Amino acid sequence: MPTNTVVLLKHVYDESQLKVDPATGGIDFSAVPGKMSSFDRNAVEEALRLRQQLGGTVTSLTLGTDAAVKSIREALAMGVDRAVLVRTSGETDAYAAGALLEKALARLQPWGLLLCAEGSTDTYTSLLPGMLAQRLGLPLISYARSLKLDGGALVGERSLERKTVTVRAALPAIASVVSEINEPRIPTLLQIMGAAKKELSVTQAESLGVTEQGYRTESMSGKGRERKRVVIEGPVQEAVSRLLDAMTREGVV
Amino acid sequence: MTPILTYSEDGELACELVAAAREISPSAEVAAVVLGDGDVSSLSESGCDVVCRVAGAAPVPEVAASAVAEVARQRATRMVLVGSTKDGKEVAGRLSVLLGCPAATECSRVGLESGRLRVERMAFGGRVSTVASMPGDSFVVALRPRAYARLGGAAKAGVTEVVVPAARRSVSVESVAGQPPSALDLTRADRIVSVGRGLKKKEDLELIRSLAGAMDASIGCSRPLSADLGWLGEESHIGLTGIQVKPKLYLAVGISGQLQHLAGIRDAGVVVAINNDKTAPIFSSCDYGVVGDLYQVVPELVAQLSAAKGREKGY
Repeated sequence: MPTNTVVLLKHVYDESQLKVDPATGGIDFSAVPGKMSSFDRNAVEEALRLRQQLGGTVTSLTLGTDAAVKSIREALAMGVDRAVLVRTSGETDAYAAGALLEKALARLQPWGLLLCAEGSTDTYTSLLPGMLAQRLGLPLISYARSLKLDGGALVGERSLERKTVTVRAALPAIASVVSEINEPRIPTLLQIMGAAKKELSVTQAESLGVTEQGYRTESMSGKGRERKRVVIEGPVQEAVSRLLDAMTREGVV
Repeated sequence: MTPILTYSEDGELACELVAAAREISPSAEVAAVVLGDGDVSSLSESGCDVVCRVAGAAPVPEVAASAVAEVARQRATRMVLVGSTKDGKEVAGRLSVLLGCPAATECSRVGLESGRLRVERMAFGGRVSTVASMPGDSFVVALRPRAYARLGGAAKAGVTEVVVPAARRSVSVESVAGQPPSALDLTRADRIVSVGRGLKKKEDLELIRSLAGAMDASIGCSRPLSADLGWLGEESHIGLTGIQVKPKLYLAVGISGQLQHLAGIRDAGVVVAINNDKTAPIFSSCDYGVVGDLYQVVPELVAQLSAAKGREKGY
């Protein structure tokens, strides 16, 4: 029997384009372009790869504002079959996001596999995989660097700090992937044009009835640590000698 | 006063969490949860009031989360600190749902202020530092390794055996490929020589090893070397999705300095870069940089370091 997959997709500010006021550390988000959270491309790619064996459809599920449509269209161009946007008015904390996604996922039944990235490139809390596994009561293979289907089970290699653990879980299951799991495809122009015709359905987040749990962002600062930026050029022997002097003065060699 | 629970599958980090809990409240009881039947002597001397040992529980996220939640229920608390490791972040997400309270991961500071728990964490690939807050009596916070130093000179706490209902295991472990036990923990290294894509082939790691040897440094790398090329293990990967380090000296060799890598070295003392591309972003984020071919600069640096050492010893 074909098994459907849902892949979570987040539209984020492009962190490489942040404009920071060097004096105050203030960040002007108004001019920052959005993008698909980088590791989500790996989750989409993995969903498309596994679709060949699972035989079902791949649906992307996004929590976000209308700006997210840009990233959703990209996923559709990559090959996702249809997309759902749960429209919010702004940022949602992780707890509420978990509650909203639980309800949205119930509406997408039947599905047998839920894929997402290990974390998003904006807040990088990495909380959602564990939250959803707990809410849905499903097995989770987090930090997967490889996934394969074996009968009705999902087998994955979890890439942890000091070990790689190969684990097995029966479907339906959840997996969060790390970026080395695959090389995401780049859609062709034809696929990009075709994506416009694919189904994108929108649900209002308010209609799902979820309340936040009191997580508040108080302040943000883009003021990085100031480095000395002494750049040494010239003949190798002399440059190294100057570097060694500097390191000795700093007391680090 | 309501107790604060701590848990990490990492023994050192577990002790650091106790220090953080003490900072949140000097007077609250700190109960350190530990799973399995291992040695708890270090944890019992970390400054906690009691060690809650859950015997027979495997330190895998789904089991850990349900065990910690059960201890929390028994002790009527919803204040929990866990380690911000990969497993720890999964545990944090699960605990947040089990206890019905907000969670924050990758935190570097934590403290109570006007009845709310404030945390500091990075966002946007390490470019932005964020202060967030949660209710002062209801939180799950995952703290990064080395964010706090373990307390010294603490009295030995007693160990309480806690019985929890057996957790359902939905994920079975087929095999574990570990790193050699000699692999150095980079989060604790004073000096790190780190290498990136500028290295042309795996055999050339010898060059990096000779530099690390001359500097008495540990070896790290940027993501491509561990994840894509596999020349070094994942435990060496420094950056947003790898480990964050804070050595006194960080020497980046052949690393261009992408944001994701810089996220791992924000707290480093002195950052030195060697790169042949003058326009590489690492030169805007280092204290000292040498523009040059690493295949010439590194051997010269090794030679001069050895010569300096020789002079010191009076040879």
